[in-house]
Amino acid sequence: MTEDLSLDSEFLGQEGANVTGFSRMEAAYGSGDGDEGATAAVASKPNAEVGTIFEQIYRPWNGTLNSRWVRNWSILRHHIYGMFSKGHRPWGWPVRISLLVLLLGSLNDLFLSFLGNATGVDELSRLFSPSRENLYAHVLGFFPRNVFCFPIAAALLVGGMISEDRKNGTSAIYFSRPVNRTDYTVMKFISVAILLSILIVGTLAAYYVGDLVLSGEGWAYVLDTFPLFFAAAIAGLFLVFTYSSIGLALSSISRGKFFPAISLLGIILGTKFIAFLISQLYNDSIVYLLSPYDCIAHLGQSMMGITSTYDHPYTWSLVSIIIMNAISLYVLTARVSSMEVTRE
Amino acid sequence: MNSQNTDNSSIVVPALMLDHVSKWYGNIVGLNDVSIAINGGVTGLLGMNGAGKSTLFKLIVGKLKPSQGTVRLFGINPWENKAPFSRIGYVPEHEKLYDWMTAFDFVTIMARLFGHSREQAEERAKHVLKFVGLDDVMHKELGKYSKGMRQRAKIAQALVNDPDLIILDEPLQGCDPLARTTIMNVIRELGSMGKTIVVSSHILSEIERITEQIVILHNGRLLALGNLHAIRDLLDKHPHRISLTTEEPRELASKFLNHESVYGVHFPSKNELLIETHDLGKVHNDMPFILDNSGIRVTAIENPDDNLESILEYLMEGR
Amino acid sequence: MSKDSRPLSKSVWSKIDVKSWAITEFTLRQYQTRKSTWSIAIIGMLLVTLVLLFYIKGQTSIIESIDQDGDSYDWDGDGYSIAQELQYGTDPNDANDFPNVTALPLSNWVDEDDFSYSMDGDNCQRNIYGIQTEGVCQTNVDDDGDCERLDWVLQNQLLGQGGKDSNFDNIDCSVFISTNIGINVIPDNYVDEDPNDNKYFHETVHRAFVLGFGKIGFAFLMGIFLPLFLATGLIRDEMESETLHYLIGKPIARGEFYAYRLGGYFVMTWAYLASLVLIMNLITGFIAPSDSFFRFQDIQMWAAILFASCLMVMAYGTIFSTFGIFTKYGMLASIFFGVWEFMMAMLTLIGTGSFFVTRMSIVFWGMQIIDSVSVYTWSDSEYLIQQGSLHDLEGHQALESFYGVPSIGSSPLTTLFTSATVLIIITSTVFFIGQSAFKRKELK
Repeated sequence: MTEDLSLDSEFLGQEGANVTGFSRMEAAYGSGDGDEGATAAVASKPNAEVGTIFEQIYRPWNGTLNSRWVRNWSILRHHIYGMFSKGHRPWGWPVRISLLVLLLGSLNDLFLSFLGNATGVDELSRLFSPSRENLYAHVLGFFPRNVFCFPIAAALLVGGMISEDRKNGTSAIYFSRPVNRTDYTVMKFISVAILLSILIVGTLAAYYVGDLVLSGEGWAYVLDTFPLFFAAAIAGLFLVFTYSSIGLALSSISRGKFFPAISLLGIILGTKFIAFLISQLYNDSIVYLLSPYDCIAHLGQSMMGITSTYDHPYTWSLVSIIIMNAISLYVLTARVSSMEVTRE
Repeated sequence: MNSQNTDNSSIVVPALMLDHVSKWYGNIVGLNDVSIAINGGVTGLLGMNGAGKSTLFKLIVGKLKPSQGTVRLFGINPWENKAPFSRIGYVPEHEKLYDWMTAFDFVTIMARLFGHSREQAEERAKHVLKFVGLDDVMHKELGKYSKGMRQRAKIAQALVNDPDLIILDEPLQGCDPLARTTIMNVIRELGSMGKTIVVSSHILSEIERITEQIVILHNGRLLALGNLHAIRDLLDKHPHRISLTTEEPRELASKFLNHESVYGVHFPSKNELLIETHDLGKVHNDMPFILDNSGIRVTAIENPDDNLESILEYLMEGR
Repeated sequence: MSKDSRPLSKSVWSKIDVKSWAITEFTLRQYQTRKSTWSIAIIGMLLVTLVLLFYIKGQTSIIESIDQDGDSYDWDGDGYSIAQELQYGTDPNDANDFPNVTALPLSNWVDEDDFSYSMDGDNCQRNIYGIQTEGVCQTNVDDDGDCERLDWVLQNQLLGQGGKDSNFDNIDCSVFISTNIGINVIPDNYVDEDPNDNKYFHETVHRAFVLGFGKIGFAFLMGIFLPLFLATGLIRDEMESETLHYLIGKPIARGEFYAYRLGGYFVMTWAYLASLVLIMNLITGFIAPSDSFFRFQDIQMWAAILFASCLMVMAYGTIFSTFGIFTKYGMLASIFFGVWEFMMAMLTLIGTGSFFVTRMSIVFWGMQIIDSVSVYTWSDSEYLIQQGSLHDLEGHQALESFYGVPSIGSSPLTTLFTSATVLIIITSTVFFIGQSAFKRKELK
């Protein structure tokens, strides 16, 4: 939309046309300043007065900006692609290798099931093929995945997500652009969640589908077992969401890369072991309400029809996990909202 | 700048000596066969970005090990023996400090690391902080200091043990004019106290104000070292220029063209005559006579080449 | 040759006490200013508070006393218990037949024949751990007399043959301990048959609490997490923040600088652990069952827990800080090492050290120290576990979960010494490696 332009303070785009998103994007991402063809005029008072340097006449900018989702997608892409290729967020080769090892470790049940099928050892394939308990165990079984793979992966992913932006001052790159803080937070959250989902829910899907293919099961089997798989996947998503929110909250209150990682591990494993100690000593499972893993495991048991290993009702675990997530998300949003766009 | 050998009983070990020192990082050469000996006075270390100044300093203070050659501080290899550090003060380029500490606490702890008792360390800290002009703010946290104050705090920690060799890496960087003046005064005063000071900077005009002894590095190589005027004089290939401001430059030029030492004239602007000569002294000697005989009025005479910037420019760009 | 009187060659080693304390003090002050230090300290205190609340609740709770031998019932409703009627020879099924004495409260015959803790029988053998293994370990332990006077027992309750010597150890009314398969406590009939449930529960759960929290809370969790938070960045953080040169650009060898930095870390962590152990010892000492106002015998147990924890944070701290020296990904290596230690801790707890691979971990040796001292402090624990299992007493499973004998085949004292030595050797070796690497490290 073109309008009459006065000679007062005005930023003109190409050839006097309105500033478009193109020129803003060019300014943000191009090699030039984006205003090579622009002219500007600054209104000034003819006489200088004490306290007044010049007078500005401000006009509202009526240009068009590119879609918000494009900007948000660029943040998401930057974080996710960075795991797999250069030119995006540099994750560091030890982190990538560690995540690859954890990914392969998470698929041990698929490998064992495959081994059973390949060698014809029925016992092995019976032990490791998808069943109610095995699907639950893949996502929420404590040993080995929830003591080694998933917490460590979550710790590595959330480590420097926000704390490094604060430390290095790269938050200025985001907030000097038309990116609001909510979008920044949400995109960071989604990128961590996607990567963690690949590890938790992705491996679950690989296990389920892989075994279907390996064992040559038919549709009847799928009809029988899909609800269990679906329930396990939902439980896995709960785990992803919770670890991401707690981890990013820790990252937002820290300046280092590793304090959030260690803290997340401490919360997940520490609460688990203390609750275990109390339950062994006093036969009381109430402290498990402080353990994010156990709350989700309890929910998963009720969703999948597994015999509960906790004495308290699953609704308590549900409330507990909701409270944990609420606190984490509150801390995260509060910290990001108040984050100064400078090297702190 | 070089050590002087008179007889065995009076051999002076230079404070700093580098003997054919090279340092490379993989395929990148940081320093290439540099040999210097410095003892006493203020020496300026000059070079563009990537010349090897920081590498040189890191080798001196034992942060890096030379790939080749030897570094000696007071005759001792700093990489293998930390003893010389009791006589060295180092002011690093970066501005990282312990922001949670007050300047007084910071300098006191540095003094204690030299082996001083707490009382001695506090006394020394007060003394050096007064010397650098921070005595009235010494109990304020370093995180609240301005850039200039932080630089002075760094200098204070380097001086607390009364070192004989002081290394300052870009001490004037980021400082406002007042802070720069203060720091330069401190450096000059330290030089006059007989200490050996090596200071690097990009601000050439201010290096000229601190010292005339310079070392020039370029692409890791030692380009020149010594008195800056002497270096300039040695640059025979590069002609000296004399700039004369006059309303009749062409007429004046014709008077100089016959001079045996003048080999060229230029007219950069309407009222300016630029004379090129290989023998500045002779032309200067004869100039009053020529000007007087010409009857042409001259309003200004300058030697545009006799400064550090043009030396650096010439040496680095080969002009 | 130096040109003035300052002797360069000696300046590295001179005034080393001043320099060492300066570095240690600086490290402590640095910890003081970090939010992470205070966060960990507060979380540790909250953890201790939480478990102590459960402990106090457990110790002050009264569990239901069960009459294991059933002699407190009054079947005929005449107000006299079976035991009292049998003692006076009246018929417990006949309400009109009752003793001509005052009826005692029925509760007198609940928990009336408790376990006897004195186990110094002449014929009792002990193993290298000091635990009774074979032979008659207790005699004259029939508190309610129903073994000596079998007429005080309902005829249909008489079990097997042997009467007063049903365990065939040739001594009437005794307790025989055998280690044919595990530890077996074989009392004669009607000896220690009605133990004090509350007393047993409080004692066993107290011991289980001390051992459990000592192993899991102190040795396991604090032993790993304190060093992860506080030690990994001891040198690495200074390198990354480019402030290291202020500290090492002084006449002090890099290896010594590293040692004094570690010294500051040790002072901080040991003081913190000592304060927590002191709190635990005081509170449990006053509340736990004891013959006096304070349970003094537990002091050595808590001292062992503190000793083990201190050695473990020392070893872990040295390892993690050395990782930080080698690489900027030192924290990542520390996390994976911590996971290995978690695995080994779990195996040690569940397998009581029978897996050889657990010996390749620090947590195993730390737990051996605790187990060694627990055998000395509470030498009758195995007996209690077995008796509790026999009578299905509440609390025996908790003690069974956390009690363990030293598993390297040596006496407790040897195990204690060996474990401490192993941990010190690990610390020294890793420190030597770390300081060598630090000496040669270029600070780009």
